[in-house]
This record gives sequence, C-alpha cells and structure tokens, in this order.
Amino acid sequence: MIDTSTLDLVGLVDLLKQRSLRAVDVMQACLERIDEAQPRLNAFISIDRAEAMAAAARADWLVARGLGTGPLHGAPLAHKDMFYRQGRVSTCGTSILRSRVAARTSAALQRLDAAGAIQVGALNMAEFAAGPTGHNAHYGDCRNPWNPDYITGGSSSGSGVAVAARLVFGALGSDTGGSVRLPAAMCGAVGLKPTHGRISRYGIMPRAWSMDTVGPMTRTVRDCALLTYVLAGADPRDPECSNEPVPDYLADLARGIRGLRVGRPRSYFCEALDPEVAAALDDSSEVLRSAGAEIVDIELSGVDDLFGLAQIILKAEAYSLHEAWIRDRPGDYDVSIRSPIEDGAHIPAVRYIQALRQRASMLKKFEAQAFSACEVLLTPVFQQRTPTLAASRAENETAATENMQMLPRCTRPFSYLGLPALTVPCGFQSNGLPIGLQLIAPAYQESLLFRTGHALQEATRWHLETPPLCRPLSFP
Amino acid sequence: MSQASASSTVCPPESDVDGTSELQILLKRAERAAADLDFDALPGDFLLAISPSASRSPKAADD
Repeated sequence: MIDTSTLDLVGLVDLLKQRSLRAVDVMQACLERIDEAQPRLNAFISIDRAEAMAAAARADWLVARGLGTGPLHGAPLAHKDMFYRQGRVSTCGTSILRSRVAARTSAALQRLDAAGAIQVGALNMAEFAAGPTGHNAHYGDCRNPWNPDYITGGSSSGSGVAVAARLVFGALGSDTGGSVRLPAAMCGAVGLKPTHGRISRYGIMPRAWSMDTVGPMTRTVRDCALLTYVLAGADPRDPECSNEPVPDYLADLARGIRGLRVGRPRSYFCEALDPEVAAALDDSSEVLRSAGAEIVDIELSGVDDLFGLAQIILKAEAYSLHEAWIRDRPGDYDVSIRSPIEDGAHIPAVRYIQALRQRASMLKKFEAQAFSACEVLLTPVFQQRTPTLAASRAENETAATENMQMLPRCTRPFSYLGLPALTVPCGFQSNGLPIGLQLIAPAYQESLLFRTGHALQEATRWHLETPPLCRPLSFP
Repeated sequence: MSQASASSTVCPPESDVDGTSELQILLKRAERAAADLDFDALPGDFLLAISPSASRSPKAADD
C-alpha cells in the first residue's frame, strides 16, 4: 500500500513507470478524493471524469508496452480555467465566457500533454484572474482546505486548493501580480512565478500582458522543478517568449546551497510584519544557514515605486481588455473585480508608457542593489495573517479594501521587474493556516530558487503536513 | 449579475475625505518616479535588459 500523503509528482511518475502503480488506480483515487472535497472546497469548475479515466487506461497500456516515457506519464493534473483547449470552454472565472469555446490549445497544455500528463478538470479562479482572495461570485468562493472560513488567496485559488488538498499532483496557475504565489502560500503549496519570457503564454487568457506569466503549483519544490523543465522554452507564438536554454532543474537540485548568499531585505517587506510570519521567516533562514547558505541583510530602496508602477500597468492594460464589456454589460462583473479595472480608464497614456519605459532601468537598479550582495532574496509572500472570507467580502468595505491593497504588496514589485519568484511553505500560524516565504533570484536563475527551496524542504516537514479535511488515501 | 443589457459610463473615482483618492496617489507617485527617466529609454528595452543573451523566439512563419 502506498500512502499518497507523502507521495509527490516525481515519486508518482517513477512508480507508474516501474509499474508499481497503475494510472487507473491513481486516477480513481484522485477522482474519489475530488468528489469528497468538492462540496466543501469548490476547487473545480469542471471535472472530466470519463476522459481522465480513459487517458489513465491508455497510459497503463503504453507503459505495459514500454512506450510510456514522458516525464509526466500518467500524472493527474488540473489547471486554472483560463488555459485554452481547442473545442472546450474556458470560463476564465466569469459568466461572460461561460459558453465560449476555445479555438486553440495553449502552449502550456500542449507541453504537458506531450509529457504524458492527464488533465482531470478545470480549476476555480478569481473572475478574469483579477482578485487576490479566492472569491468568485459566478462559480462560488474557493475554500481554504486548512479552514474553509479563510481565504485561499488568488487569483489561482482552485490551483492552490487542489494541490494542497492532494486532489491532484500539480496544477497550472497564472501570475500577473501574485496570483500563483498568494494561493500557494495561503494553501500550503509550492508555486513559481517564472522569469518574464521563460514560459510561453500562448493560448491563455490575458490579464495584463506586460506582466502575465504561467506558473506551476505543486506539493514539493522538486515537482515544481520538473514541471518548469517541461513548460519552459522557446515558442514563436508568444513574441516575448525567450530562446534562453532550459537547464535540467531537477538535476541541479543536487548542487545544494553551500556558500549561497541569501539576502533578507528589512525595509518595506518587514513593515507591518506579523510576529508569527516573522518568526517563520527567521526559522527558515536558520535552516538555510544550517544547510550551508550565508544569510545577509540587504537594504533595498524604491520598492514602493515598483509596486506603484506595476499597478499602473496592470490597471491600464486590464481596462483596455475589458472596456467594451464594462461599458455594455457592467452587471456581469462582480463590483469588487470591476471597480479596480475601471481605474484604468483614468490612467493617462503618458503614465502608462512611462511605467513601461522605466522598466529596464528599474530592473538594472534593483539588480545592482540586491544581487551584488546575494544570489537569492528571501521575503514574506504576505506580511499578515490569512484573512477570513467574511472579512474580505466586498460588502465589508473597509477590511476588503485593506486586504486588496495589502495582499499583493510583497509579490507585485517582482512582477514589474519580471524576476522569478518561488513560494515555499515555511510554517503555520497559531490558527492552523499555512505561512509561505518568497525567494527571488536574478532573471532566468530559477535553478537557484529550486535549489534553495529544495534545501529548505529537505530539512523541514512543512510540505508534508496535510490539511485536516484530507484523509489519507491509499492505492491498491 | 443580470444587467447584461445595461451600459455604463466609467466615472472618475471618488475622492477620499482628504480629497485624494488612491488612484490619484498612485498617479502622483508614478509621475515622481518618472522624473529621472532617461530620454532615450523605450518600452522594448526591458526585454533586452531581462534576457541574458537578449534572444527571443523567432517570429512565427505565418505572422
């Protein structure tokens, strides 16, 4: 019998290829868990039971004939409902697109398909990927598996829940200002916002194209390294996708972190820092020090400006996408989603263009400040305790506004800079909700992030804790 | 959620009690941040700055 609570994606694929497990049994177990969890967590918008079981049977048939060689062969995954698949509906979390059938398949799904992964269904998300909490007025709020009264984080809410609750072995999210990192941190999963240009955005719903990224969410850092290796690489259909070579991230993990300098910025990121979050970050720093890293204090200035410039780009680009629908059918938007997008109507062109023109110099300035003294930065993902769903609802205006502003405060600056950032679980609040830390590296240095996060997970057990709503499942 | 046929004119955001909205603060901050912006800086410089070898995917053949 194999206990799924400690089994990650890398381990699962090994067992499937060795024929120690059958893909159909794994899929059946996942579907049973999904059926049990869905009424409480609302992680899925649609579930493709018959297709998933048929794909699992095909995966077993291939392995039996020595043909199942893909790096994700037979693995059950599910994805934020904004990754288009030709002939299928992607709701993008809105009723406006409830019936729109995709005309193309996203590059990310094509790569996962080619690697042998099986898509179990489409995951819940914030309306148009535009909210950081996990609320959704059209498909129902997503619920945190550690305590359903608390938010999941967003906008890739279902992805965070499905991974953390062990419903699937990995998920895709998208991150424009924190939408992978926030739900990963709040649900207790690993999540990557890759370097701008590292993973093709072809065939996904645009949120703000200058900062949109595709990000994997997983149980372990090594799973995230594997998924990133599969997803990354050139794609002529995304004009900003890079030709930079893709390292073997999984193999790189063995290099460890001895001698690596990990920087702890104090200003901005430590303002209004909850004592429990601060303690979790300090403990993680000590773990990394024990693993051979050097922890150094870093002074960073101008981070407020980076946040503000990200807001300008996000609002202006989002409004340009939504203008016609907001004009013609405003009632089809939740007001908490529509209102921040409407701000974009009042951003002068000069401010938007200047925000784009400043991006290169801001990046160079930041890299000179940060990465001359260290190789990796360590910050909180969110400085405070996880808010409740009730406190984040639009009708609770004061608290909701405060949460909307605070939630992406530590994530959005790195979206503006286009730098890679990894979220890793690093502890729990006294109310039982997970805490996540954020690691940031220079552009295209995802390998440094994975090595650091993996070193943390080799020495801790935070990522092995399972939410109380999940009973252990075993395969025959 | 059933006002699909309604239309909307987006009004400027209301000011806070001190007469300054969040958006106005954001725009002021952006204006200040652009004060030292180099005359020759262009939006496309970012892609060159972030990429070690400044290599992008070749343009699609059917573009």
